[in-house]
Amino acid sequence: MTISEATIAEAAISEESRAWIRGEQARYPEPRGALLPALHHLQERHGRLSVSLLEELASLFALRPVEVLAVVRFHPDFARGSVDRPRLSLCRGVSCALRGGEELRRALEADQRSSPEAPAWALVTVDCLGACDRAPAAVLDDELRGPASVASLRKALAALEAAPG
Amino acid sequence: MVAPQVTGPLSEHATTDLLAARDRGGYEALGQALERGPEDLFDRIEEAGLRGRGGGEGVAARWARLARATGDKLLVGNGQESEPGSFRDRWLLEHTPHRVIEGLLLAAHATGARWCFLVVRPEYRAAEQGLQTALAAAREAGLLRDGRGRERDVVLVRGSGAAICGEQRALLEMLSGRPALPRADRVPARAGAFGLPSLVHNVETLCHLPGIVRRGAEWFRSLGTAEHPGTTLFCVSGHVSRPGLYELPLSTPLDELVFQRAGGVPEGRKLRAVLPAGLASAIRPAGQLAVPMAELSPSGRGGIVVMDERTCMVDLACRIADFHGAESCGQCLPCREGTSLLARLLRRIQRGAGAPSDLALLEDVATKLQGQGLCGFVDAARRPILSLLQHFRDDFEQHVIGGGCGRDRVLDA
Repeated sequence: MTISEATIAEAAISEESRAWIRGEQARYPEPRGALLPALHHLQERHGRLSVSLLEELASLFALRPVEVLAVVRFHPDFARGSVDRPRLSLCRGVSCALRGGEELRRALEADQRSSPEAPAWALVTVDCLGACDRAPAAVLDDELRGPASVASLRKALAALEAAPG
Repeated sequence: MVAPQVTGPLSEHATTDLLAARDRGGYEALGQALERGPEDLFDRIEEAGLRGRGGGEGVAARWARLARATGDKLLVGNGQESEPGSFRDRWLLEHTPHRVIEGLLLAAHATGARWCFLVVRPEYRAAEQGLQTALAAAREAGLLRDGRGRERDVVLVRGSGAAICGEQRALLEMLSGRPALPRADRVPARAGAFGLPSLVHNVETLCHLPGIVRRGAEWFRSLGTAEHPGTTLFCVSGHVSRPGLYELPLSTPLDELVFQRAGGVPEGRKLRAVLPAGLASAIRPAGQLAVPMAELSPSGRGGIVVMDERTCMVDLACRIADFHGAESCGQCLPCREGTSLLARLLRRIQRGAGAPSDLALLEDVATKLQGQGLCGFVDAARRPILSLLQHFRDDFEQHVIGGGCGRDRVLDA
C-alpha cells in the first residue's frame, strides 16, 4: 500500500481513528491496553508516527508523551521510519540463511544501490518471519513469499511498481 | 503453504470456514463443556495430562492456580512465536482459526476468565485477517459465550516484532500498554496484565483442548507415552529435503524426524549438526541424534534446524549471538551486557581477529551467565554457544589460528 503524501503530512488523528481508538479502549481492563493497537492503527493510516501524532495520542490516553514514546521505541515495528512505500522484508533467520537468504539480501541490496532514482520500495531485514518451511522467506507488501528467489522477487517488485496507484 | 506431512489430530480439521469447521466437530467440545460446567472440563484436562506446549507445565495445574485467584481474571492466547525455526503457530492460526478460538473459550470457561485476548505477531498478517473473519463469524453465530450464556469478547491484538514478547511476562506488559519488560516482581497468576491474575497459553496448547474434550482423556494419552501424552507439531527446517510440520508424539527421536520424516540432507551431502529446539538449544552433532525429542525439548517448543557439512559453526554461533544481542530487552545488566559481549567476541573470532584467550573468555562468560537474568533469555543465549564450543571447538580454533575454517559461508552476514 502506498500512503499518499497528503496523508503523511496530515498531523491530526481523524475523527474516524479517534472513534476506533475509543472503541478499542473499552475492550481492555484499562484504556492504556489499547495503546499498542492504536499505534499500529495510526502507522498504517499515516505511514509515519510523527511527534505531533504521538502527542495527540498521548492526550487520548491521558499519558505523558514520553510514556507513549517508550512503547514506540521498544517495538521494532515502529522503529523503521516511514512506511510510505511498499516494504520488502527479508528474513535473516538461520533457516532462511541456510537456504540462500544472504544471497537474496545481497542481490536486492545491490539492486537498490544501482537504481538511478530513489527506490520505489523499502528493503528491511527481520530476525524471523515464522516461515522457515518456506525458506528463504520474504514479505512484500504484507504478502508472504517463499521459497523466494532473486528472480521471483524482482518479478514481484516490477509488478508492484507497474501497478496503478 | 506447506501442509503437515503427517496428518494428526491438530491438522485433520484444517479449515477457515465456520460451517465446514462445525461440520467436522468444531465447537462441539465448547458446547459440551458449557453444559457440563468448568469442573468437568478441568477434570478431563487433568486426566489427559496435557502439558503446555510453550513452557511445559501441566495445563490443569495452571488453570487451578488462576481459578483460585480473586478478582477478574485475564486469559491470553500467545501467537507471538518469535523464535527463528518455529512456524507451528503460524500454521495453526492460518489454517485452524476456529480451533484456536474454541480452545481459548474452553480455557476461559475452565478458569472463569473475564478478559480474553489473542495476540498475533504483526508478521502474521494472513493469520490476523483470517482470525478477524473467523471471530466475526463465530460471534454472529452466537458461539462466543460463557457458561451463563453471556456474550464473551475475544480481543484480537496485533502484537510486536520484538522476540521477547513471546515470553509470558513480557507479553503481559505489552498487553498492558507498556514496554514489554518482563517483571520479576510479579507472578502472573496473581498479578499479570493490568495487575490482574493472568494466564498465557501457547496457541498449540489451546488447539489440543477441543480434541481432548470431544474424544476423551484416554484417547489423548494413547497418542503419546505415559510421561508425555498426546502429540505435538515439530517444525523441521534448514538443510532437509522436506522442511515442514510433523505432528508426532513427544517421544519421537530426533533422528526419525530428520531422516525419515523430513527426508534427510539433500543432494548427497552429509549432516553436520542439528539445533533440536531452536536458537536456545544445545547443538547435537551428527551421530548424536538418536534421542527422544522429549529429552531435548520437554514441551516440544522451538524448531529443529538441520545443518549440513558446509556449515561453519562459528558463523552459526555469530548468528545466534547476534539474534540474542539484538533481542535482549536490555532491562537487566547480565543479559544486556552479556549477550552483547558474547556477540562481540564471536564476531572477532569469526573474522580471524580473535586470540586464543578469547576462546577461554567466551567460555567463561557463557558459563557465568547461567541464571543471572531476570528472565530465561540470557540462559537461552548462552546455552547454544557453550555447546558449540564443546562439540565444534576445532572450527573456533581454526578461526583463531588461521583466520577461518575453510567451510562455506552460507551463514555469514
